Amino acid sequence: MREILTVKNLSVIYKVEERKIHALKEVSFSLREGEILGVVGESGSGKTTLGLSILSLLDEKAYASGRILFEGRDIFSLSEQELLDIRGRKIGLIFQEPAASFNPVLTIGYQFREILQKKLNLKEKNLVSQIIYDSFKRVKLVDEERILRSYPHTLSGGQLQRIAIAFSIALSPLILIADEPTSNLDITVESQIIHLFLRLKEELNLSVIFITHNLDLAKVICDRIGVLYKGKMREIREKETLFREPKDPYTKELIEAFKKLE
Amino acid sequence: MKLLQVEKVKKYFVHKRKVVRALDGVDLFVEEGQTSALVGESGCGKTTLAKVVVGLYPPQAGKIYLKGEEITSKRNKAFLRRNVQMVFQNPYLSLDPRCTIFFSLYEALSIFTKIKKKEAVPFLEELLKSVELPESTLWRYPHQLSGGQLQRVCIARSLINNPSLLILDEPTSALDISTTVKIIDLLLKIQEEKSVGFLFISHNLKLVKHLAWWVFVMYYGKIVEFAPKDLIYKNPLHPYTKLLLDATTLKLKDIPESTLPERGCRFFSRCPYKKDMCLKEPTLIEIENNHFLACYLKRK
Ligand SMILES: Nc1ncnc2c1ncn2[C@@H]1O[C@H](COP(=O)(O)OP(=O)(O)OP(=O)(O)O)[C@@H](O)[C@H]1O
Ligand SMILES: Nc1ncnc2c1ncn2[C@@H]1O[C@H](COP(=O)(O)OP(=O)(O)OP(=O)(O)O)[C@@H](O)[C@H]1O
Ligand SMILES: [Mg+2]
Ligand SMILES: [Mg+2]
Repeated sequence: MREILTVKNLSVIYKVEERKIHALKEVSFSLREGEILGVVGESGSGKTTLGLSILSLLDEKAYASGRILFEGRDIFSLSEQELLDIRGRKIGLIFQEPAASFNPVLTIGYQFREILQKKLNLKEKNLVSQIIYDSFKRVKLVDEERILRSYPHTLSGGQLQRIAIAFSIALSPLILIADEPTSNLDITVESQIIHLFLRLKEELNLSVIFITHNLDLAKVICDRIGVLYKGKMREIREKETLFREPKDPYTKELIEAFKKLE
Repeated sequence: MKLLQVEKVKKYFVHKRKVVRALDGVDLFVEEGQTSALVGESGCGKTTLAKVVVGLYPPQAGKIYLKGEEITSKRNKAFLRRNVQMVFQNPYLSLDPRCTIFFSLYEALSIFTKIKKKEAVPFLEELLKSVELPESTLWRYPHQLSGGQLQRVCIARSLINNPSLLILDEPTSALDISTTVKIIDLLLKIQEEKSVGFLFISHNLKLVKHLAWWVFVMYYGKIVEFAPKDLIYKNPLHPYTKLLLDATTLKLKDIPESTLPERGCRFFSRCPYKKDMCLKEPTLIEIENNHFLACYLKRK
């Protein structure tokens, strides 16, 4: 399978006052076209930092080194304009923090139309409505008339999470980075979203980096899984072999802890 | 006497011409020193109920009692603040982005305790350690923390003033398993030591099973079933509860869309057992000892 994105020796350091936080240490891996690659690891292991790096969205006080190759170019070498063309349209990101996806003073409908206009250059009203309606249906949001007229703070945690997913899939990106996209969903809705991801992968050959702390979920949805621990990618393998014979001691621990709760 | 008693609480939101019946006559309680869990589908009204209890939204109807005192009325605001704490679902919005973690925690601490900043430091460091965070977290700003780290800061803050009722709205949704287990153990220890009652809102049914006494199942603004945990897990009666408990991520592919019917049972559109009689909404009644159900299935 073709590799659509390659991360080489990525390190990220955050500076807080005098201290340095090594959030990622020499991380290397490739994302294959049409695969769902899971990234798992405990809280603070660097998962979100990895997702943000790929779209060059890190904090000003973050120092990144290494290379991220996409379409033959290094993301870190691109101009702001070039990045804007990639973000959303080619590589979508579903933020872990739902608030980061929305402007609090604009209605959902306004924001959705604006994204479609800016990123896809869509002006034709009927087409825009059709895409909006279609994406809402895919993420199982009912009551779309009301939701479109609503401001973000009047929607529930799970509703916002699904709207963020709708925003990003509406642009049909090549790659989707999904940072804990179902953490606020109950299992009935969650499983429908999982099926949506699987379908997009089948139908559109979408490649996904699926960040999660939930191994159950990773096991169901991912093709390969990478394990982050304290900023290092400890191993990255096909999920079957990872669960059957974890090599790394930390991966073993992770899987054991998970079984215990069963 | 129950620690918290919620009676027939209603909260409607009006959207132009459309009304969202977020809470449509909710009954629920928490016993002192115990945990009541509230589960239900995304958007069914769980957070709204929590916000009504802590006084962020006035209810349109119904009564809420804390230790027997009615807290829906204004005059009990101070009593409410003293006794109830909440961990919000979205940790990013619950801390002031312009303040260090130290400042946010110190602010909470100094509401009821006179303490100098310097003296507060060791106490707050200990507190952060208890939620598995390094002491240095005190000097960071919210945006400098990961999702799960922020969530733990919020949990720590909620414990500062020894509440008698703690409302936890998806408190571990951003945490990995091993951290979750540690945090839950901490909460249980505090519950035991200080006899705190928890209203635990979660979509993680494994966790609920681990820590609840009573489980309340909500569907579109109403409790459709409640019972002690064992009864709910061993003998779920409402078709919605069954759906929730049977669900595994792989199996569920095409469950019918959830739409709220104009009248009758809320679950009508999705229910595999629906009958004509369900067009009249069933009320909650006690089906067996301590097991309450709003469904005609088990009625004679
Ligand atoms: N803007 C920042 N400034 C300073 N430190 C940061 C910043 N963002 C993240 N960190 C730190 O970097 C480390 C990795 O954070 P990251 O958000 O990538 O973790 P994560 O794996 O996504 O965790 P979680 O599962 O809790 O969301 C953490 O220790 C965090 O405190
Ligand atoms: N301030 C508000 N104004 C208008 N509608 C609101 C407001 N707050 C909540 N709602 C609506 O009330 C319903 C219940 O929302 P609530 O946040 O209580 O759901 P929830 O059960 O907590 O869901 P989730 O599991 O997704 O967090 C939703 O349809 C939501 O859009
Ligand atoms: Mg994260
Ligand atoms: Mg909620």
